Amino acid sequence: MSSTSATSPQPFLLDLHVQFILGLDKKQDEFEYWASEQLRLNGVLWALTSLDLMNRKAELKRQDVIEFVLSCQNEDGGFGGSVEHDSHIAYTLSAVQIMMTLDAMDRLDASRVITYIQSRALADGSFSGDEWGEVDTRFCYITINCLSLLGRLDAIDVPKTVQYIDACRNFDGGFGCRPGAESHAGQTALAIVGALELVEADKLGWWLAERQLKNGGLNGRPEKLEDVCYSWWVMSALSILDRVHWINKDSLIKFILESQDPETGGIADRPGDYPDVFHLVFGVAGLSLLGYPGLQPVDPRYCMSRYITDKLPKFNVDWKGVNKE
Amino acid sequence: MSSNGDNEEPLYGERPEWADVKPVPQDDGPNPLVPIAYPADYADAMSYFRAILATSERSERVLELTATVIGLNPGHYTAWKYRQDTVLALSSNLHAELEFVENMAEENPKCYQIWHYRQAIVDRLGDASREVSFVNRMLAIDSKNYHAWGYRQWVVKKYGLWDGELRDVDRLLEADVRNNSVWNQRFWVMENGPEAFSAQKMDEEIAYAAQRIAQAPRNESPWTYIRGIVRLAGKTLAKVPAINDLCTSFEAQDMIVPHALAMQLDMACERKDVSTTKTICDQLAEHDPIRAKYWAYRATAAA
Repeated sequence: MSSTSATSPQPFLLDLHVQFILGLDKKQDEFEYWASEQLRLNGVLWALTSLDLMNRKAELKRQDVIEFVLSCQNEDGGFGGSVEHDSHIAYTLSAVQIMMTLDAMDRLDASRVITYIQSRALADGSFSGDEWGEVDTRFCYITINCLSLLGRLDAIDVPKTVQYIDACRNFDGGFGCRPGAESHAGQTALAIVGALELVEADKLGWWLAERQLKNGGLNGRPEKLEDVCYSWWVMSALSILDRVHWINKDSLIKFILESQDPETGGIADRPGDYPDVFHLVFGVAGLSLLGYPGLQPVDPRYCMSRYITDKLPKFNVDWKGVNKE
Repeated sequence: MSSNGDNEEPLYGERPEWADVKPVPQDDGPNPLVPIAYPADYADAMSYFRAILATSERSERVLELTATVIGLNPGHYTAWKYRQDTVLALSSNLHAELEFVENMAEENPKCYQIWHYRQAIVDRLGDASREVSFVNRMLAIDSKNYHAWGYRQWVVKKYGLWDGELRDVDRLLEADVRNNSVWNQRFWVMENGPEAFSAQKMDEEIAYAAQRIAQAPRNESPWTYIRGIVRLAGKTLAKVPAINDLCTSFEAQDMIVPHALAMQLDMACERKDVSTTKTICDQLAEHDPIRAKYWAYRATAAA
């Protein structure tokens, strides 16, 4: 990987980011804090993963996190976004990823989680996110991701799910969230993790590379604004396709570093905006994928440190970007 | 931070018609990692909502309560689902529900739950006559709203409301020719609409896109649209003269348009014309430097 420090506007503010995360809990009197209650479990995952990638995982109290995660599990086996919230497949994945990152899988009742995920499967190979019935390719990704972490991909009909994802592929080579829906970088990243073998790698790689704008940042759809979180979604997809070199890495690193808040820590969607933990984790993970020094190598399939996912059994798919050093 | 500022509704704990319900306060467990400190009005409504969940009450007052919870926290999917089940159990006026959704949607257009709820109500109602104009009002607020477009496709396909689609698409492209969501919708109509896609249709659509490209040649979407249309018709780019004419028209004006060059590159590849391929790749590397490595790859791939 190329050295980038010469072009950096400011260094990576690791210690400040750790302080930013540890201060999140103290913001409980702010509107955004309670308004995002149903996302709490995701917030914990983003905070933990950011710390882990920065080699500072021990800053969060392991036991407290485990107890909180377990308190979000419902009767149906799934997890809600917080205590007393209905189960959703997204929070169920967050719970599994947190437990895995904390090496606490022995505390998790995996069979109940698997039963819950199976209950979300629909006849066409797609998955609904909750009992209420939202359908999105994101949920195919979540299902495959979660079951692979649990070593139980046999619990669903994978070929049928792959067929569904294929139906969401668009004329531009990207993927939308349902058949016919506009291509979106996030959905695209998730889709190819689910079904790499059906991707037209060059066409899709080009669509992804076209997401880079003159200032180095990446957008999620044509003619939309650049956003740090797409450093992750676009880059992870390019990484799996082994085509990260098609974009300009140095200008993207510069863009992410410029999006740091030099006063409070944290990373914003773009330079000058307010930082949050969502953009922090995807900024840090993006930097890791770009080979920025001092960070744990990240697995583009999971947005988790490689040392964790290296313990997983190998898939029957050739993950070029992952296995290549 | 009180969100109660603009309405003077009393707390549920102060309402006589709720006196028979014992509120259930938040339980974060003994050692909460992230204790949740709610503002008073939200904590009040939530503690009554928890009590209702426990007794599974279905009543008019539950509709009011869920409206309060949703109004304070529109992403609360449990409250939406409970409201939906209650509305159906009570056989409530579904047209009134559509109005409720519209008011919510104007304030929170990107909240997924709102769209999902509207779909469930319209599905039950079996009347989608107000839906396209509703979506148009929402697109007037944000013409790239992903949920709005997804909902529009559901409504149009399910109820066969194809008639006005291209008219609306054209109107929205007139307002913003760079709106990729609209281009996606145009393609979706071509692919899924009642009219069979023919070679003549392909020619018409290429002419349409060419006109729009003339307005903004560096706009990615219509170029991608042309590729999609040609593929939908089962043709190849190099065999459609109109595309070549479009690309060369910029040369004639001494204009460098990377999308036109990229199209010419693909046509040269189709013809297996290696020397033209390389020339164009060099031009693209120069005029689209941020993707220089991609164009270098294309040059090697063609050799």
